[in-house]
Amino acid sequence: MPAITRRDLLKAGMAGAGALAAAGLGFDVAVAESTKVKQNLRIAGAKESHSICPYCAVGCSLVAYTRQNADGSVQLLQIEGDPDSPVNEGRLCPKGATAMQLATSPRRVESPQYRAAGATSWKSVTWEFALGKIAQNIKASRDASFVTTDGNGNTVNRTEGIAFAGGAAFSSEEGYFATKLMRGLGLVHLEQQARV
Amino acid sequence: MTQAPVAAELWADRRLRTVELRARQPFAREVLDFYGALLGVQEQAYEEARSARPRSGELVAYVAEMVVPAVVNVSIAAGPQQLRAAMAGQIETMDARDLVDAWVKSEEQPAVDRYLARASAGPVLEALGPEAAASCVGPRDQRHCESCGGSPQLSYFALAGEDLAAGGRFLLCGRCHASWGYARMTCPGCGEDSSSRLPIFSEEGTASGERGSVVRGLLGKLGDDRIPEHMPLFGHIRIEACDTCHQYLLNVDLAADPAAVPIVDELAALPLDLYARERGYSKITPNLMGF
Repeated sequence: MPAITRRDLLKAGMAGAGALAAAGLGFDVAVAESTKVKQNLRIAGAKESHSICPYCAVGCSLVAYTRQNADGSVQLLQIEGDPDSPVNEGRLCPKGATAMQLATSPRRVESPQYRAAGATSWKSVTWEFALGKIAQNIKASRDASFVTTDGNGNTVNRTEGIAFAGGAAFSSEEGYFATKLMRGLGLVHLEQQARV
Repeated sequence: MTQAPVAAELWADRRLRTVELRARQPFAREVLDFYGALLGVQEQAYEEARSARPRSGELVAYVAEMVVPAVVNVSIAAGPQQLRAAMAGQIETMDARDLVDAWVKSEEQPAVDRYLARASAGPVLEALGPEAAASCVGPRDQRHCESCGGSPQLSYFALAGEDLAAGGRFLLCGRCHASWGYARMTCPGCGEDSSSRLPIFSEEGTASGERGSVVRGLLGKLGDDRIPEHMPLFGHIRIEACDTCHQYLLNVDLAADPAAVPIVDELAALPLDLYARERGYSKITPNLMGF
């Protein structure tokens, strides 16, 4: 048998339907009909990627399907549990199963919402405004509720008017940073939602 | 990890699905009509092998004497012209034992010889299970059948046993039709597991996000008012290709169509095979009809 060159391989690949028909058992009608059907199929490429559900500390594995559009943008097509993961074996909770809405929901709130004291409705504000307002409120509450000594005269320097709740999706680094910041402000009421 | 359907259902399911797809997909009628005729012979061979239970050392002789003649007859009666002519031309000189022996030993064979050996040995190996399959030659590793060492001819996602769960991926052996579990994002041809080198080709409108749902397999409220522009013909089948070895398999997603019978649906997805070939990929193991 003669050696097969790269050119032979390319020619075989490009021969398409002809090569397929020749390699088969003579289903020429099926190949001809299927060739017509193939020409009308709208087929697009996609990619599977591993990811981790961001909602809780269980860390279920996800499989995400994405497609790169002609304009270069990446479209998220589908998210499902990863059946090969020893963590969740393909299962997801109802919240994790809808993880796609994190990226695609048309109902997603895209800017901070602010309801001023006495107001009856929320309004969209900028992040700059929201962060400034949060900082002002933290300072005001801290100044008003700061305790320097307890009832026995011990120095405590703590802030009793503010509590902090960490999100379940915090990474170790984010949790460390948040704790450091809050302890620096004198908070003692720290909690973590490390579960669903 | 093999899955063994109940025997009676196995053949009834294949017959029923062949009839369904024949009605729905006229372009595949030539293949499905012939497969439907062949199924009758294969089911009989399966049942007889379950009764006779030939020992593994007698497998080749049993298949050559008990099954090959019936497969030749049905191929001449219902096969395409090229196959009929090839059968008629070699029927006098053909050594059925050599044909089956070469197939069991994973040797290179001409397309018609391979078809004949495969169509004849398949139901017998399926009936006798791993004990008989153990006599077949082939590597026993993750990319080959645990029972007979054959290569996979298709991949499928099994139905998960509960809501909000994704079923595992299985490969189906092209020789004995046993299934074994295999990682989703890994090429069954070469083991490549870098997702950037494993493109998936499917019809537009097959992913849940394109149908307006956020949960795979469920209709979503957000999508109820969306009318898809395009109804996919192969909503449950996609091409899983590899840019490292340039091979592919068709994958049948049973969650997308629980009535699908992978071995039959894959036969009828010829337009997807043509698409994959056009893009320069070759199938890891062609199906029984050579596609």
